[in-house]
Amino acid sequence: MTDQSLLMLDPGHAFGLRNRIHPFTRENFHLIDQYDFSTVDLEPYKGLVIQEFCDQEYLLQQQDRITEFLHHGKIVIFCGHLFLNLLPGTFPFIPKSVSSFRDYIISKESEHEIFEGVLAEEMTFNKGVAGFFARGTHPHKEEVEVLLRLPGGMPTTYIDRTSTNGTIFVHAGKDLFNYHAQNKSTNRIPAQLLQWVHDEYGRIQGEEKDA
Amino acid sequence: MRKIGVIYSGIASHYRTFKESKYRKYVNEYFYFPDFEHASLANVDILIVPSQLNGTLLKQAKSKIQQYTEDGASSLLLVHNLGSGFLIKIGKNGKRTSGGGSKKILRVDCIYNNQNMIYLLILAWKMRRGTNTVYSGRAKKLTN
Repeated sequence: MTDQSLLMLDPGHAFGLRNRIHPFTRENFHLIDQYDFSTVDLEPYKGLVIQEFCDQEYLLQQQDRITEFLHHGKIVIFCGHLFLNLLPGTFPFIPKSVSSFRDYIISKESEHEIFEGVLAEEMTFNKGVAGFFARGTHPHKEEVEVLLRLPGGMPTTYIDRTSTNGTIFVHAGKDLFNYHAQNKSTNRIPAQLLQWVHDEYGRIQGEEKDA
Repeated sequence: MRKIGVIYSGIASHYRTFKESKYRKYVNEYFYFPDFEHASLANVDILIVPSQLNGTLLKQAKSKIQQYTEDGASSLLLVHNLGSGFLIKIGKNGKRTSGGGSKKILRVDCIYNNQNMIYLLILAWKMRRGTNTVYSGRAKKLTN
């Protein structure tokens, strides 16, 4: 059974083919070509997923629609490196200066349901190489909830619940919904992130009813 | 001096590679990919076609890019994961597998990242007219 309540923008590039046709993507997202975003009615969707290779120049033109979507208590998930301020409260990506692989070691700020059971070491290393998971940061407001950091306290992954009426999830790295079949604890991330989106939406809507 | 044009699709890696200040001096003209169909290539001698481009737009651009190379201009195509035959037919040994003409085609494996892109841009600047270079596959030193 498929759930079409999350809208995912597909950059449409060749790298993304495997994830585009993956059953997890097909069953849990309404996948559209990114350039169709301007014509889509956003009302039915709980969340919007902006993937790493999306056209930020185009999305900047759609900034008002994205902001309005958030103001309706919806959720935006962004994974990648922002170079334009297309999301409220976000700032351009800053790569981490590195002198060794240890500069890419990921640590958890605290236990969070999205990364429950996921070993920090297995986020840091992929086939023995560090740096695939995240290589820098997006500066953010103080009020965000930081989930993961690089050495030196540099946040890679955070949740912003204060810039809008909705929630913005920002990860300065590869798409977290695409961590499939790695045969390690990172396999847990896509399903747990998905569950978090649905739970978060329920929480926001509940708060709006209570208000 | 030959002029380099780049297809730019607004993604972060393209921005960092082609538009950050340290690389800008090598690029004479940017062609934003959604507008590419209506753009004039008359003022560039070399066109860089990066990987990670939207497939739908790439199909629409295919004939224009092919026509550009047929007209004797030069192109660099980063076909990583696209299938090297999509835009210009080229065999594994670097020989063109279809089409005629006397254009020289070079093929050099590379990885698509910012470290190598600076060499790529310099290479583009030095390319001879009518040369197509296809980059694909895994990392190797950028030489030809």
